[in-house]
Amino acid sequence: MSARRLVALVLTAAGLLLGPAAAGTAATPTQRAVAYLERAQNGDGGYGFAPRSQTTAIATHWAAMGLRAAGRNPARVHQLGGDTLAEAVARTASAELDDASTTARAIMALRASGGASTLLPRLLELQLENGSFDGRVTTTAFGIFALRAAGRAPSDDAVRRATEWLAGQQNDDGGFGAAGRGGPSGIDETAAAIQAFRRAGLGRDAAPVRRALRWLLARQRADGGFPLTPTGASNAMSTAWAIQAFAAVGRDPRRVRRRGSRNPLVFLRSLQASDGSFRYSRSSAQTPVWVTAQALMGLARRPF
Amino acid sequence: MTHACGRLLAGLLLALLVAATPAAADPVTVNLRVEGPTKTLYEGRVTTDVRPFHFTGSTEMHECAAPGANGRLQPARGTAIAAAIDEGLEATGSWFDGLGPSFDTIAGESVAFDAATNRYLVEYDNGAPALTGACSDPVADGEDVLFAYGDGSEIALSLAGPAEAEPGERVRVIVRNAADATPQSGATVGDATTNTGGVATLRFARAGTYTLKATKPGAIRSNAVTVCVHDGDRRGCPAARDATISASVASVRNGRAYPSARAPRELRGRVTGAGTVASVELRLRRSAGARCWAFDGGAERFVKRGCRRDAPWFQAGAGADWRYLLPARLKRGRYDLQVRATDALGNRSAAERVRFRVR
Repeated sequence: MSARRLVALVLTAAGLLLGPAAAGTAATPTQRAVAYLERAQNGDGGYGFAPRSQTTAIATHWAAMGLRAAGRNPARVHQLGGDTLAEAVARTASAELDDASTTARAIMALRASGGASTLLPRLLELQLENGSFDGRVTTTAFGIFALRAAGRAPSDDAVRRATEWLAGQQNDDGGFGAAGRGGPSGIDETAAAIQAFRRAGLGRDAAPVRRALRWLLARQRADGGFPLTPTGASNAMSTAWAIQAFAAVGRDPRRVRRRGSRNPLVFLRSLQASDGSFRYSRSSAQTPVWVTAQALMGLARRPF
Repeated sequence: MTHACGRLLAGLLLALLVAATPAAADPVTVNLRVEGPTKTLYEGRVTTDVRPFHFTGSTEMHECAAPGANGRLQPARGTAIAAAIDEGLEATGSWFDGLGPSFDTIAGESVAFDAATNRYLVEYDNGAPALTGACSDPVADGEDVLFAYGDGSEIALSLAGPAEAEPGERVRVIVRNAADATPQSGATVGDATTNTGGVATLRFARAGTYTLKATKPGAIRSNAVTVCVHDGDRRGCPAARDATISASVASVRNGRAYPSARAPRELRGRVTGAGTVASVELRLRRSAGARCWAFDGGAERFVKRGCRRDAPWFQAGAGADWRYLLPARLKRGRYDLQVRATDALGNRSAAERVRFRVR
């Protein structure tokens, strides 16, 4: 055996022993993103918006949901000697519950962490008489996700009322806007509404779902990604939202290609930096922990 | 190692980290703007450093600094407001640990959270709604810091136009999305409305100084552009700011050959001398043998193009510290990269060119 072949054999064996994550470029985008989030965790088990920044409930909860979507159990994610992510979620979930958005997100993060939620009564208190949460499209969608995560059935009164309100907010163009009917339709809101309808038991052929999906498909940019607003530049978070919406209606995101564009998964993966984190967009690296966590949900093609 | 031992070790490490307080970075000068519900509440350059935050009339100080590279604390959007407050801007509100300030009033106008409309003072990061609190993200010299009253779904407008004009002259201004520089149609500037290219044409009958702002439903009003209208006599006009603007590339070096395994992926650089940076544009051409390709910023891929033709310009954001993450590492070949920047007065830098090779 030549020396070169011997070296190659040893390197191959080392790669097999160390596994894909240690092999660097051989690791998948998901593995590299998970490794990034594991490195970015604070000693208290929580996350800031960027590595080494102060723990916040928002970043901690999204990290739990993203890692769970990637198959990692937050109860087993911790720094050496530090608290686990699940412990941090439980700690942060009990604070700042003064609005529906925070409460719904906390319920979902607790669910992702395998913990039991006692926050459902608080969420129900926050549901408005018209069925919405805060009178906002995305918050109401999250309310539906949280109700379902807490075990409420699609036929449950709270789920049904929220769904009816949401359906009433659909714009004539089929999309949904942040503040409800009449405002300009947005990608994140429309993708959230599609997922909420599906979680609430609407069929993929139901009229609100079909109309929203048609609007969303038409917003794909030439780069394959999706922007926050129809005329903006594509970004990782809106693209992840869109991928989740496609997955919710059983549409393979790899086949979503408008006028010869790349598909949204390829676009999303192209925003991964060398350290495993995901950039918000080509020209912005803001809040890498949050963006990476949400990108993981897109990569997993897993709706809320 | 047991879990308890691990906790002890972590505690010791934490104590060491606390003892070694990170050094603070140098002061920076940023363009701070606060857009209230009915008017602009603050617009100007402010020099800030790492400093505690306090509301007007309050002696309670709060930590406000962003973690930066190498553990150094950096000035943040919140410290820019803190610097303006120290210079006399009136601001009241509440402090939230981990997120920073939430404002009730700025310069006497209410910007408090309105549950009916979900509007509050939203922080923007180079034209896009920021996802973090005001004390989380570092700001760099020359950066635009915008706080605007809205629900976070509005785009921020940027306005560019000339600094001087003659009476009766047709003056062209352009309105863009401040985040990605896409032209905005249907925006109002003075008594004109922008076309599909984001351009509005105005005429000023008499000499004088005119301050313009762009507005559009569902969007945050723009930065101000001041046009000095004169017929040769510049007395009475504000002193012209240095219109020198230059853009540079920092991440790749001219004449360098990179091995393909370490081929450039992220392009980065700086814009200096500008007030508000309205847009940064790049163009990138690849050649291999006698064939050439140009990078298409819309489709984000190289397309064949004649070697005598320049590559098209594409947007790379609107910040003083620009960056552009290419979809993949560059393949083998010779590359010609150019960058240029435009400020809010319409001044455009010369194109800075860098040629390099990937082998």
